[in-house]
Amino acid sequence: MKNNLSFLAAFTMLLFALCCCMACFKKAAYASPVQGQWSDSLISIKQLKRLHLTGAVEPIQKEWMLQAVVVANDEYDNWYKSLVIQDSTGGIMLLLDGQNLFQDYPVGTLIRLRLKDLLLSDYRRMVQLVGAVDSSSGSLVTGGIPLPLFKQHIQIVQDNFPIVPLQVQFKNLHDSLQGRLIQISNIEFSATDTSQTFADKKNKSR
Amino acid sequence: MSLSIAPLFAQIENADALPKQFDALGESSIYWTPNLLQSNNAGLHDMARFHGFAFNWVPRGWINNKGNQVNGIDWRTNLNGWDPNFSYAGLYAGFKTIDINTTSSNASLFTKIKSVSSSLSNASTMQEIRLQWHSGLVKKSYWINVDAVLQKTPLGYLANGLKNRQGILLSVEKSIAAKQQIGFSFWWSPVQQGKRAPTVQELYTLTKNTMYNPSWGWLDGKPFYANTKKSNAPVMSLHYDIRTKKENLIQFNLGIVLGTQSSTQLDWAKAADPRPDYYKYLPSYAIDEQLKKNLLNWYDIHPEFFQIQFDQLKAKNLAASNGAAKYIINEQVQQLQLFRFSAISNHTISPNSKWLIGLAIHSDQIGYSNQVANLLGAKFYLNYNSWVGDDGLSTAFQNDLQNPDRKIKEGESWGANYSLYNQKIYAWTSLNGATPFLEWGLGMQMNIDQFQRKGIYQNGLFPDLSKGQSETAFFPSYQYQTYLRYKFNGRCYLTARLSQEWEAPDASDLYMDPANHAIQNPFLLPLIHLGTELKLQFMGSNIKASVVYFAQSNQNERQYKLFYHDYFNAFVRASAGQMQTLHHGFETYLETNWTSPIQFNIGNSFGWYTIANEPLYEIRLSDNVYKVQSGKLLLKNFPATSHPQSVQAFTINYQPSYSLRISYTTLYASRRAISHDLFRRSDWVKDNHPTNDAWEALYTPVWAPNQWLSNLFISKTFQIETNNRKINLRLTSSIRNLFNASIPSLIFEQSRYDYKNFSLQKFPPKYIYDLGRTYTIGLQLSLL
Repeated sequence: MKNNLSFLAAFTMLLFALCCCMACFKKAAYASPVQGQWSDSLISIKQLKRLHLTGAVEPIQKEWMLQAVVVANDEYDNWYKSLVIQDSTGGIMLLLDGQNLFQDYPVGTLIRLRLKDLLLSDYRRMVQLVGAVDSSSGSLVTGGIPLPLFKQHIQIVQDNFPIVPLQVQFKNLHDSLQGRLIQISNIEFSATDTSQTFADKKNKSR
Repeated sequence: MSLSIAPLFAQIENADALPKQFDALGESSIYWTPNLLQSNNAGLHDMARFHGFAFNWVPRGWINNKGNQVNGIDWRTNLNGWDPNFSYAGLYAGFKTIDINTTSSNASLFTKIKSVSSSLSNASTMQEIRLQWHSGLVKKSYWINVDAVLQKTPLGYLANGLKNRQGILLSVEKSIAAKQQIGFSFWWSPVQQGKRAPTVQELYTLTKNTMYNPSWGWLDGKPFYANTKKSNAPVMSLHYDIRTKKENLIQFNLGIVLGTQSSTQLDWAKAADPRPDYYKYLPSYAIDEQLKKNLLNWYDIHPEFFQIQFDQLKAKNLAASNGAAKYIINEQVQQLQLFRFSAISNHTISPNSKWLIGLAIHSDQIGYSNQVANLLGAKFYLNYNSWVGDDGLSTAFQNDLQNPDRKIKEGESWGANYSLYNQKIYAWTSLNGATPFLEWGLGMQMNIDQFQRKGIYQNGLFPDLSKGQSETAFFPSYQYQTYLRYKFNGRCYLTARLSQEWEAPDASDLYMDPANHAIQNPFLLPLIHLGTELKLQFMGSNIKASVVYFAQSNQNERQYKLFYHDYFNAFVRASAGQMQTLHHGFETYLETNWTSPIQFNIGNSFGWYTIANEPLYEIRLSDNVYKVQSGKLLLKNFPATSHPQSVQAFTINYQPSYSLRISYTTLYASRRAISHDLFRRSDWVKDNHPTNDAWEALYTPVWAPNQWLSNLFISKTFQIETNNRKINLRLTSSIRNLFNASIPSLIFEQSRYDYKNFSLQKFPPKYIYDLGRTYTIGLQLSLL
């Protein structure tokens, strides 16, 4: 009996020691502490757009952040001095006063955008974020975020963020899809529109 | 000259006469390392447990126990859905309390008795009948303990509506050798009882009834309680004890639970909210004064509309064109499979030192599903997730993509179907020692927890994440505790205690939405407690007193909620984390026999429980887990709990003879914060709040009113002697809340808040009131 008990005690301790060894090798699922929060009041694109009235300009004075992925840039000259970014609630254009933006912000880059001091405006109902507006000439002229301020406003979180286009039917096209990467199936272009470019190549400035 | 060190326990004067508040420092407790903040001041703890629950008094403001250790086994689980206390609540006579954390149904602990008892109460259960049999030592080798109970309540008599319980406990102990004992214990107590729902103060005012319960209504002309909870979970345990020649104790325990616990509630899909206290139905929601008056008049004439109109819901179901139910009674079922093993060894190293080691293994699996308990007249219920937002994919509302659009009949399962697994292994050790003037102890515990989720169905909201087994989540944790006691003389002691614990999360903290996926919550850091306690005790023959100062800091506290967010017009999952709190204060306890038949107990607990920093928070849309907001919660110096921070209690016992006892207790509770909603006190709300004054009103904590409470207890025992035996007849009577004080037991801010216009009145706090004056009368007949 004494031997059996000793055996049981030894077995129990061995079992515990084994578990301790497993504990040393298995990675704990604890999170990392969040430190040095630099203004992390996130706002979604949908909520941001709600603040905008068509035709008006709204300066953003709150310490808001936006986290979105780049879905279009100036790589193929389709978008000039701008990025199109989207999150899961919507998309928006971001005007940046720089060239070859695709080299720093390729499609699939997840960025954090600091919104304070930017402005909400629109161009032909397309809502956009701009760095400045000038109405001294009598008409509203918007300008992108100046190049030296890119790093102040934009922080790259991750590269190659997966983007899944939203499947949309032709009949459901709507302004709410502005700035979003969508995929439309079962459509065709009319013959007169074929063999044309999307951009006006003739008037493109270089 | 030789130094003679007297044995450890002989130094405790009159150990048998020790009042309860002076614990025996782990002699019988399996777990020597209790959480520091769980007050080990047993007298104060009993006052809180038996008298203070009306205003939610928890000493030191921290609940750590989710269950109890019974028969050497810790029945707590890290998974939701298992309430061990609920499984045996009616069988209290079959258990003996060993200490604050430990009870036992070991038959050898009971003296021989046969008794039948009955009680009547308007508080917990109307009618109860109980049979008890403790065999004592039979044939010099075994003991038997049986407790059987039947509790029944007429429907609607109690505030929670119904309570039906049957239960049986059987415990057998057998002495198999001079120092070996084996025991078996089984209890099974199927129960169904109603639940009260909290509601806003407006309803209590309109109904003029603090017992108002909005969750019941009329069905087929009879009262029907939709909110109930049930348990049908038999529990078995085996143990084997052996004492060695040196009187060391080794114990092995095995336990198993197989059964179900469940709850029912009214559920609805794409239909009008059926709750009578829904904010849009209330007069306060009406902007027009005339409309408000009309509503008030209408409620005066039709008070039945303060309850759910189940007959009307049934009519709506019957009128549905496709036969699909809009309203059902849903039952959330937890299938329990819990296994336990523990081994404990208590060694006497020397007459003045002891060494305790233990190991425990838990393997828990709980399956979660929904069942349609009542179709309320409809032919079927469609297996859809009706709370999904309309912006998503066309299949997002399907609960089961493999079997879409399934029609669910009564008794069939629907919705989420998943299992959670938890394996836990932990070991502890403690060392106690003593010298003539010092006692000391050191203990530590190591734990390893592993969690996993397995989804049975693939749902449309998270098709890639819902079905199948998730990765295992692994959490190590540790704790240590040490104490030192200095004995000035045989009556005066000074004890200092220090402890630190890293606590792993449980399943409710780990998984954000286990019904739909295995994504983990943010802010999952180990909960770190660091605490200290200084205790001065005096043990005289007529007076026993203690004064304690305690302090504990807690880091990485967290909170997770699901609610409808008016700004995002969607259901969101809000998380708060990296919160630090500080609980500190002092307790005093005095017990004195003033004159022989009169004894006073005076307890005092005064503390400060505050949040010490500005925690972080995140808000994610429930449908896609996308983070839409984050920042800081402006909660520094906010109350950390809703338990009263100051309680003074006084008990006077008058026992002129053994057979008669009268006891009167009065308590006064103050500094009791309501349960605040943390998320509305964010930097985002402050930035968007219309005025500074409005923000200041939100930022100021709200306190519940200070309360007095008095309880009275009388017991009288008669003994009748016949030729062969003695018969004991014991009458007891207790009156709780003697002066019928109106006490809100629970006041909490709703998670839903007017994030658009920041009006505090739109979603006001909810209340549950104490039952008021209640009585219990008991009669027990025992054959000795």
